[in-house]
Amino acid sequence: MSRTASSTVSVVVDGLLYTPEVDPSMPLLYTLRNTLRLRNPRFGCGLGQCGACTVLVEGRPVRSCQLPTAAVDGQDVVTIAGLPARWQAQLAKASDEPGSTGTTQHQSLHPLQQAFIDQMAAQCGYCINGWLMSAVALLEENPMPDRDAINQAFAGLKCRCAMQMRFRAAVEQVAAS
Amino acid sequence: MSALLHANLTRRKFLLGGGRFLVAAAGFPVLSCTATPSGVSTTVAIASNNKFNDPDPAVLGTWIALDAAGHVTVYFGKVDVGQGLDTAIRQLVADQLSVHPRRIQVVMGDTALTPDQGGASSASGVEMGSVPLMNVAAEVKHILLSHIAQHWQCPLSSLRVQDGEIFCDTLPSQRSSYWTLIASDALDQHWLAHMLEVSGQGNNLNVTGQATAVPLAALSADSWTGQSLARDDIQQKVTGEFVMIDQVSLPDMLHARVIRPQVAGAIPLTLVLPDDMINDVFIVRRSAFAALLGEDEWRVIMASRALQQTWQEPAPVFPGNSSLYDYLRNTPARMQRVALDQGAVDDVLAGAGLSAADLAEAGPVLQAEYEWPLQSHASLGPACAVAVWDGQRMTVWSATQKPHQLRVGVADLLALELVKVHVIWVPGAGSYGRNDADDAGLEAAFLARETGRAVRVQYQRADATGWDPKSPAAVMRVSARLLADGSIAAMDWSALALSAHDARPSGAQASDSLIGQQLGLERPDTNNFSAPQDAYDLANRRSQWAVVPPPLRHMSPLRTSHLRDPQGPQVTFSSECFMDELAFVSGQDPIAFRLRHLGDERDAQLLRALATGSAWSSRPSPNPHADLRTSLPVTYSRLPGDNWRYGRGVAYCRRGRQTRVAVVCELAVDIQTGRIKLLRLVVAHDCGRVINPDGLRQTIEGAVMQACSRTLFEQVAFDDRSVLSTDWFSYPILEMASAPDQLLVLLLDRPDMPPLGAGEAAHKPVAAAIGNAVFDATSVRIRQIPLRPQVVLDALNRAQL
Repeated sequence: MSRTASSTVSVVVDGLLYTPEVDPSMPLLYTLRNTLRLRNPRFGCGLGQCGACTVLVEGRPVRSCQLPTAAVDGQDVVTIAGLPARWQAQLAKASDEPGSTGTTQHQSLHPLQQAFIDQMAAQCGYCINGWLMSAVALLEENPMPDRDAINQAFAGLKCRCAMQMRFRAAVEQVAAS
Repeated sequence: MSALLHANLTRRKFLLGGGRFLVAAAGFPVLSCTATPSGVSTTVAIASNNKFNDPDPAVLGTWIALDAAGHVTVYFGKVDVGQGLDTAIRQLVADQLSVHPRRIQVVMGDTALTPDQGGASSASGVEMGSVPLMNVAAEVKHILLSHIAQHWQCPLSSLRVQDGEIFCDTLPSQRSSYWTLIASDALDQHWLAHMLEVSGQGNNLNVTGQATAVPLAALSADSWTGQSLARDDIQQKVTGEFVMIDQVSLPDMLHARVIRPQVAGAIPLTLVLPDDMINDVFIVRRSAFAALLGEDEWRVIMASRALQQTWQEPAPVFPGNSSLYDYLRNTPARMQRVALDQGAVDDVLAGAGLSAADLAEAGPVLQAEYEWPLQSHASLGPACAVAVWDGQRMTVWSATQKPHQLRVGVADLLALELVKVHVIWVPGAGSYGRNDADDAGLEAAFLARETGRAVRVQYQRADATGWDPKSPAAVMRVSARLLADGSIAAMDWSALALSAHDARPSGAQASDSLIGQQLGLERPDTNNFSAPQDAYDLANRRSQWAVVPPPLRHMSPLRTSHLRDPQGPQVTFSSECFMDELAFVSGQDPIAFRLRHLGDERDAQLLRALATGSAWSSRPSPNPHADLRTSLPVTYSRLPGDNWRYGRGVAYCRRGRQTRVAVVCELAVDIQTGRIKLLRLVVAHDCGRVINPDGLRQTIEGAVMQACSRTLFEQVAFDDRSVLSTDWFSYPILEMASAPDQLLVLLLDRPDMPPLGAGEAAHKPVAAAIGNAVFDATSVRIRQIPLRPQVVLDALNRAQL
């Protein structure tokens, strides 16, 4: 067996600690999908050109098809399934309440998830990771983005069903509230 | 293998089992392809003796099941490719059955469960696909109420149903419901074996029973039809609960990576894996088809990059995209078809067809040629499919738009009896015609049989954008003569185009697929293009098209097929830009010019509504104040600098079975860079009765925005031997920054009319409206797509010379 040497990577995904043994050069996307069987991040291009594989790494939107798994060792990764917990944790922190565990128990949606639903901001939904995660990261950094800031946050993302107007409207809905 | 369980399940077992319909194994995620709500279905009585019998449309229970817990399942032979079709179906069935739509679940696209309704095709899901389901729902209601009427000794007409609860006007103390009736022994256990009259097939498949569906126009005001019922799938999509094709996983599954040549038409000579990979990855090679397989997906991808390859390359056959239009003009056409012929237009253009009085005043022949490039389907996700062969039966999971047809193709490719093939549709990345999904499904099936293992084929980006079916290129010529009053005396439209049926729109013929051709199947010549669709009432008019043979007949990355509103954008770009050119030379307002030629009041109402709704100011093009942002009725964008020129354009058309759509585009052109900034799009849309206004708006918006992308950015790049646009850098599509400031959709609801297709119509006129707006802004007519900055800049520079 002449496989590339495996090594143990320690990573928190959606609040849970995983220690998979993987080829450390394998892109995070394949570790998430095939090793951890967390299949929300999608394969769209494998080139970092579309956003379908986007996750948050330490709060920043990252194309997981381009990031070697070793790069997230010791880091915090969030997929769209972890957004409700992330939001609850932020609320708890804001209200200074103790007891937030950050785990993905049944919790209400992240306001951007709700805004995407309100704005019907998806058709097939294959691209949704890129738009939703980029929107989350944008509003965490800039709660009142103008259209230039939105364009910048969404630069490079693709949606073949062409729902761009609705992604923008979802961000503006949350920013206005 | 438990994953195969469901393939072996009879319909009876499936329905008895109730609950979710699962493809699952310990430790593997659950795939819920289709589902009935919990509880035991009453359709057990119609279980077939043949374990793999096809769903028989003549049997009521093929279409619908009700259970005692209050759930309704309908079996729909179409699929939703992202526009919420199943939600509209739930509304339409709810009204016929008099139940709340939340009770209704729609099972789509499983060849063992749903009748063949042609799959997703030609925006026919609501318009045609819903018709048998409404009839079936009405029939079920009739059967259940007839039973109650007999039992209660009351007239059928005295019974009312509210969300499945049954009341009697004359017997107020009596109460029952569909669900208690089903739970009781009162009902004949074979009631869903009831036979129906079948007519038509595919998109036209219909069934009728003793009852008649309530016409939509006769539904009460509080009906579900017409309401903006929310789609359930959006929430599942933003939370990650929605299962798509790329998530289908079977135990013991191999990952496959197909090997495409660098040079079109090349045949692999040697394919050699590096020594350090041969334990993990192996090659399956048959004739010109080759794939790498292994248990670790990433390892297979690595192997495909390390694979040492030699190919037998044919002589270069492609014209290259810079010579594409010369190729179309100069290659002998193999078929010519007159699509529309009114009067004797050849003679008219020559002068002989007009009356002496008209001839005396008819102007010279005006003529223009328009060019539309090859465009890629470019679905966001490269195709993925999973297949498994158990020695007896082939099961394929695919995002194909036409699962019943792919089933025929798989049987064709593998020389299997049709009954041994089961295709299960699973939602995938949006498709808008024939993308690469059918190819992947066929390849997965082939590899599953070759290896005896479950196989997952996942295309890479270049396999998709490089090799997916393309929308055909065309050169279109329009000629006309105007009378002195500015009306059209005669018009002649013609196209030289690649066929839209190089790969026919379904996967039913293995010879139309890449693997079929790699294995040596010959595909037949199939000729298809289109002509303008509108309601212009011209006494003398001819429209005709001719198909030019493709430069490479088999295994071509330039093979052409259907992409959203097939050929509509091409054709309408030419016909509706030319209408604008005629309005310009005669100094007429573009909307007024169209209105004076429209022969249908419904179309005219649409255009007038668009003019009002967009605050259209009547004037000829070009815009006399093009340098003023305020020359447009609404301005949102703050565009810095003095280089911007502002304009507006309109286009109108019909689509298919009479959906009418017209669009106004307002934009700015940067005359220094050639960049186009879309400002506002206003769409007026008449597709008859509106089923779900919010859903319809979203569908229209997607069709319009995707058309903006094709108009402004999209063009397949290729040289004399290869497609060069194989990713999102080389095949750019519209991004956020290029979206308009505003998009306004005006729905002309026609409550008394039947619903018509909506998924494609609004795609058709957008390119022409943008082209016309560019002319309004710059006084320069560009007859070429895409309107990338360099194309616009070159045209502006040429005009100044």
